[in-house]
Amino acid sequence: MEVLRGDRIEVNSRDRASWAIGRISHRAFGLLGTAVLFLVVLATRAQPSTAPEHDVKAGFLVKFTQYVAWPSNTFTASRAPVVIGVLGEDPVLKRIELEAAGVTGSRPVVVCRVGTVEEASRCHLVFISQAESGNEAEWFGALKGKPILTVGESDRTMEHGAVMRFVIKNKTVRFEANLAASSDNRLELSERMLAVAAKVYRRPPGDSSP
Amino acid sequence: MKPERLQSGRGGVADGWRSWSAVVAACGELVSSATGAEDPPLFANLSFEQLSRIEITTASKRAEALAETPAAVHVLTGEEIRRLGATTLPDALRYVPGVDVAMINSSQWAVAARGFNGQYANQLLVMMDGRSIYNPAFGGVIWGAQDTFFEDIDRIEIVRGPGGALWGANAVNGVINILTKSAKETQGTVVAAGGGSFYEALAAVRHGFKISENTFGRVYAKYDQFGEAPLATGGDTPDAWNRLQGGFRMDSLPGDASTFTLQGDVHRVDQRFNYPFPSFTPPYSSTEIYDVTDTGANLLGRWTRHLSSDSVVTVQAYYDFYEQEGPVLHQRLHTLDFDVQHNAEVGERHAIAWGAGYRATWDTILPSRVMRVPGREQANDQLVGVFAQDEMALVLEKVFFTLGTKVEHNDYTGWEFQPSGRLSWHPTERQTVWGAVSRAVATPNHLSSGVVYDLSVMPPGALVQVRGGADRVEELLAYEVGHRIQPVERVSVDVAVFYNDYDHLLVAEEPGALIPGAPPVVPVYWVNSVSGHTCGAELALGWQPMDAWRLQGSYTWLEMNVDGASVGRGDEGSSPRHKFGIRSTVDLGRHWEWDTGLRYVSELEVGEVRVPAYVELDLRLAWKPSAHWEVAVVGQNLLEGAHFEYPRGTNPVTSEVPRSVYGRVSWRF
Repeated sequence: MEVLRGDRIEVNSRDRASWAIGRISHRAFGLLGTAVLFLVVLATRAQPSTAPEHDVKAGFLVKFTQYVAWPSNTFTASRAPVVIGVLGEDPVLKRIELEAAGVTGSRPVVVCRVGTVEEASRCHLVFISQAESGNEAEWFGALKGKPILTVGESDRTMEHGAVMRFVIKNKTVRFEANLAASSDNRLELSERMLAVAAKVYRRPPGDSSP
Repeated sequence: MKPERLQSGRGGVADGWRSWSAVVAACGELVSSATGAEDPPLFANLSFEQLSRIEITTASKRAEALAETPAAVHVLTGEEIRRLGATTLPDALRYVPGVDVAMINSSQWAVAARGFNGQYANQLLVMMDGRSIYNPAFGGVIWGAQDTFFEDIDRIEIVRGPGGALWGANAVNGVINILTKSAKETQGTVVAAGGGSFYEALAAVRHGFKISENTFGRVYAKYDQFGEAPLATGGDTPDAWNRLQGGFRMDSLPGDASTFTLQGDVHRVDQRFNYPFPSFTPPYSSTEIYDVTDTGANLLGRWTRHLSSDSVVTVQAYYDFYEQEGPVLHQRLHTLDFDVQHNAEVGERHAIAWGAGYRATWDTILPSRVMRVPGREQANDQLVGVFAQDEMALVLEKVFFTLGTKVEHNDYTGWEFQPSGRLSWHPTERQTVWGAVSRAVATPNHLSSGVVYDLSVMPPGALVQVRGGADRVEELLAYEVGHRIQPVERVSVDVAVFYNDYDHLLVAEEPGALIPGAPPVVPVYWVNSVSGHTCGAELALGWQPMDAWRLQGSYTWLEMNVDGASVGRGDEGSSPRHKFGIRSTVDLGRHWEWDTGLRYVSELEVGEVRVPAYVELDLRLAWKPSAHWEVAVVGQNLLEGAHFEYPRGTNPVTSEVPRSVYGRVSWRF
């Protein structure tokens, strides 16, 4: 039997943006050039279209700390850090560390692993992942009423009293917020953030009225 | 899309050279990170909208979403396929509940879901990355010509039951979707080679590379050579064959929440068969050996865009060319297909999907030694369709009602309507109860509507001839219920029960009255004349006693109540009444894998041919000394020297499936 060689198909196109940063000596040109340069660089700054789930969640968790107002006596100093506590060993934790390091703004963000409810009660945001969701009822129950942003991602997270919950829709990470729980915990959630939420519960969930 | 906050540097203008150089340094950092030279961008610096549009790549959540689907779904992950040691796509489907896989000879299979198995089982829609690989000429899949680079298969999704509401005509009893990984996930080079007693030789190579910051590509080539299937009467069927295939895939992920994919393959398959050609001299049939060549090529482009956090649009177009040259079938087929689909969440309670499609096929069936389509050698057919589906939350998070339909116009029967209603209920976490009622149709095609096929010669000289006369759709009204539960952490149970009511099934009738002529002809009309019903149940169990050991069991029961045999597609006894399978995968330490499969298929009666029940065992042992190397030894069908699975049409020669072993080495770098 004869065998003919099939065609090899190769993709040859290359598409790499290249930017030259010119020398600018004159201040006026310097100002204009800077502005143009920033605009140009911002435009080429690639936004990733796909990423691992825990990276995206870590991004959300750090962002949450910037769009939530804690009660006025929560922080002891103007530069006191916002503490994120993660239950268990979770890949999210490593990523939050990376994200937190890049935060610029009034408060730095730090993350730590918590092992007991006691430790968690000293955090400002507590995240319990799907893998640890067996502990949700106990932990979120114990943390209720404390000025802590509680976040989970199981089906029953909201029933356990958490303030926010991650859900996956259409292969993207979205979140839900519970205003009853946030006001129990004396937290104020920014409208800017709530506008992008997949769902906002205004009543406690488990209340089956539509 | 501008990020809300800058990673480093200060927004705005700075006075003085020191500030200026700091700004330049910051830009440099931004540029180099944009071109991928340093750390990945921080997600906290994106806006909430941007974050909500990033598509996640972990498989676990997909499994959860599937657990809530109101349909009988089974997913074979790429990892499971690798550990099956499957050498062909039908092989990979052997342990899936509800799917019958029978090897006819070395290069031909009968694959069907929920009954009516046969070499040209026409009620199963099979797709590769969204491209239909169903041959519209005779309605079926030529499995020998369908292949891909196995390592790059992301998963195979099998839905048993009618998929007409979403996928259109011919998805009557199931839909199989073979999906490959994106080029971004298959970077680097993989080289594999091996051979054995039946799977005589294999060689495959794939090279994945980065084209630019957001664009990735891969190319592959593979060669497979298979030996001869043994004959029941002794000796071997002269059906050794080989295939050569190559292809590419390019995925572009530009920064505006859209993705673009371009992929294509070319293949050439050289096969050999023996066939009893009708003859007018005693013994009235002459078995001859002949060669067949299949060639094919396809190109597919798909563009997906997230319009907002709740809405996605997908546009797809593909071209497919297929040619078979042989004394039984001589076909040249061109297909051009366009599809648009929009998925959106509307309010709190509605998830809507709708779309439109157009397909044009140019099919030429040239007269062969035994087959021709008089008056219609060339069929230029067009298929236009729209579909819409709404998943409504009757009780939020608990009860969903999905109503959908596809409406299509085909050139044979005009407008066809395939509605489906599904109800799903989640009584507790990790449990889904679902039910569905659907209508699906299988349309006439180029061959079934007009073929004249010389089957045999009745002594002393009348030609028995199949004459295709399909002129309406085969209809199915299906009633299904299912229950899926994860009672404890490491156990999953999935049950589906169905009752299928068929009308106007295409069957070959009893031979009609002799038509005088030279030669005189005894016609066997192939027409839509039979009704009947089937019912069955499929059970799938999963148990993971330890992290390193996973067990999957499945049991399928099927009762068929249909009269009349059909050319190339069997009748009541064509699918087994009981099918049972167990798969065990064990990780021995970090370097060894031991995978076992045991299966039982009960007896078949295909026309006059009886196929006895059989039990078979598959084993795979793999050694992975490092992340780069894998050496595997695979034994298939180990319990018997050879066993019979399915007859070939009316060919009295019965080939069997042999006991075989092969080895495979792969190197990844």
